[in-house]
Amino acid sequence: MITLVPLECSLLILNHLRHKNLLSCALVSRPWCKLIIPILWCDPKHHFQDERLINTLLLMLSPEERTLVDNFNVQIPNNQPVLEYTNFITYVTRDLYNGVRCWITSRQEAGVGTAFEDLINYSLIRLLLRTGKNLRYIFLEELNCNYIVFKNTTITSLDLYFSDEIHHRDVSKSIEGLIKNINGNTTLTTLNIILSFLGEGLKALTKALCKNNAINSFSIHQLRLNKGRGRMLRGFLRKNTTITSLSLCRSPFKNGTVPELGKSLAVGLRINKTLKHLKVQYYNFGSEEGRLLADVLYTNTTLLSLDLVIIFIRQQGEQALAEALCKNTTLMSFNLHNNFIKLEEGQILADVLCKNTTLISLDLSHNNLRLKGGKALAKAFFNTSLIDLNLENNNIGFKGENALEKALKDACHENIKLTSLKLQV
Amino acid sequence: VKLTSSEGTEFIIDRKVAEKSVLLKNMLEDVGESDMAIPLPNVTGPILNKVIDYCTHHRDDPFVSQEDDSKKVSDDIDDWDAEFCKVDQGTLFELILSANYLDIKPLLDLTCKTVANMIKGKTPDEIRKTFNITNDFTPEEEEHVRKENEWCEER
Repeated sequence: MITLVPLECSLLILNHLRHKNLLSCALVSRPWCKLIIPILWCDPKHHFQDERLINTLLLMLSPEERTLVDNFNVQIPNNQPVLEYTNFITYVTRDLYNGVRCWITSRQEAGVGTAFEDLINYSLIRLLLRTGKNLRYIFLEELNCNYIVFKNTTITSLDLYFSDEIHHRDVSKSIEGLIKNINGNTTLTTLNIILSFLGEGLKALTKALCKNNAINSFSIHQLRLNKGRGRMLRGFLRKNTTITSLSLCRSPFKNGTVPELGKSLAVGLRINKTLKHLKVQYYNFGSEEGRLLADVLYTNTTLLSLDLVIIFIRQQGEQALAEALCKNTTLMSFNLHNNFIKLEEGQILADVLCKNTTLISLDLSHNNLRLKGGKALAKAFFNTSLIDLNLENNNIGFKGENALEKALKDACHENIKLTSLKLQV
Repeated sequence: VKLTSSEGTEFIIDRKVAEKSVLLKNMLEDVGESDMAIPLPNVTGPILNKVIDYCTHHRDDPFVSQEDDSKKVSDDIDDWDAEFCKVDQGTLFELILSANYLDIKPLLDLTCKTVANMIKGKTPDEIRKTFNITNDFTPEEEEHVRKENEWCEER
């Protein structure tokens, strides 16, 4: 029956089933198997952590890769798999590396050391890149990109991760390999790097990104920035004409004060005409820098979303940003989550809501707004284009909350767009 | 609105009922008011009767356009719908095809969910029996497929 209805209907039926039930279906007959195996393998997610899945992947290693494993005196089964499962995989998540660790532990080969673990990791990634005809995303954990080729494969999104324990020299080497893979790569569109050290690599990488015309989304997580690297980003923003989304996120709980980072970004953004989404998280800004970024909002007409999360915008900064928002007509989403902002009377916020007609989403959660009443804001609800307003955790107090809720209710009878207002502490 | 089934039987239904089908809704919008019967050569009379039953019962339901993927494993079939789906497999199968052809999303969801529930929790052999399918695997082959995919079983 399942194989007799049109494909879209059978997928609808199978969509209601979990992996365990799907496996039973796959074992029913050959036609069922052919239909269901691609669904099982399309996005295994946490199942990558299962050593049994790793076992199946290892069946597909090439004879050369097998020989290397044999050198460690580790036996892996050598029957041909029934189907080329790697064909169907679209996303390779970080779980793969946990799976390899589990596989090694489960075989009590724990004594073979990290060299063996590396071998398995490299072999599997190469296998996936070689045979995965539908691969879209891959997570690379502490691998040297010189030994991996993902240039012009089907991969559109890539994460490269290094923990703090990895030697800086090895990270730099891998970045060189990454750059080789980026140069002339026309398929990769999203690049995320997660590491705390990049040294001169940032300069080379941003240079490579400026030459590349396909990558439009770039994010750096955990990176230690300093004044010099902030300037590199400034140069990058000035020169790059393909990146539409840039994200800089420091790890939480680390002192992330970077002198002039805000200034560098502001200066870069004055020239840049392509960036649509900017996110800066956990890097502290200096006192003047909020104002400099606000100045950008007056003139920039390309940014659609700006997330400044936990960057400690100082008082002049808040005021300037609020004023800039009244004038800006392109920004649709603005996030100032957790910035110790104090807008005690709510009047400034009301002004923003009244005068700005493009913002759709505004997040001011985890600040210190302490709005005294809802009156000013209630009026603003009528004039705003906002759909989403988040004022959670702001010491607004029950009185303030009640006033705001009432204001929203009243406004709801009129034709306002606001459909989501978050107030809870 | 007049409809003709594949055998030529004529059905007369409310426009509101007919509009549960996106196919008919679009047709009616294109053609406007007309006495001409709409031929449905892909749907037999008894099945069309069932489909009309369903559409009449659900005539006042709000139109849901966005499919909700969050309800992946759902047992939220109400009593009327459950009773409606208590039909033989051939009919259920025809209903899926008709719902797909006539583009009646909620009916398609309901029938697909019903089939999924018939599979849930069953062994491969039980599924074969339920749908009368012959196992064309060799025993070794079946064992290999099971072994290579055993990671799908929860532990």
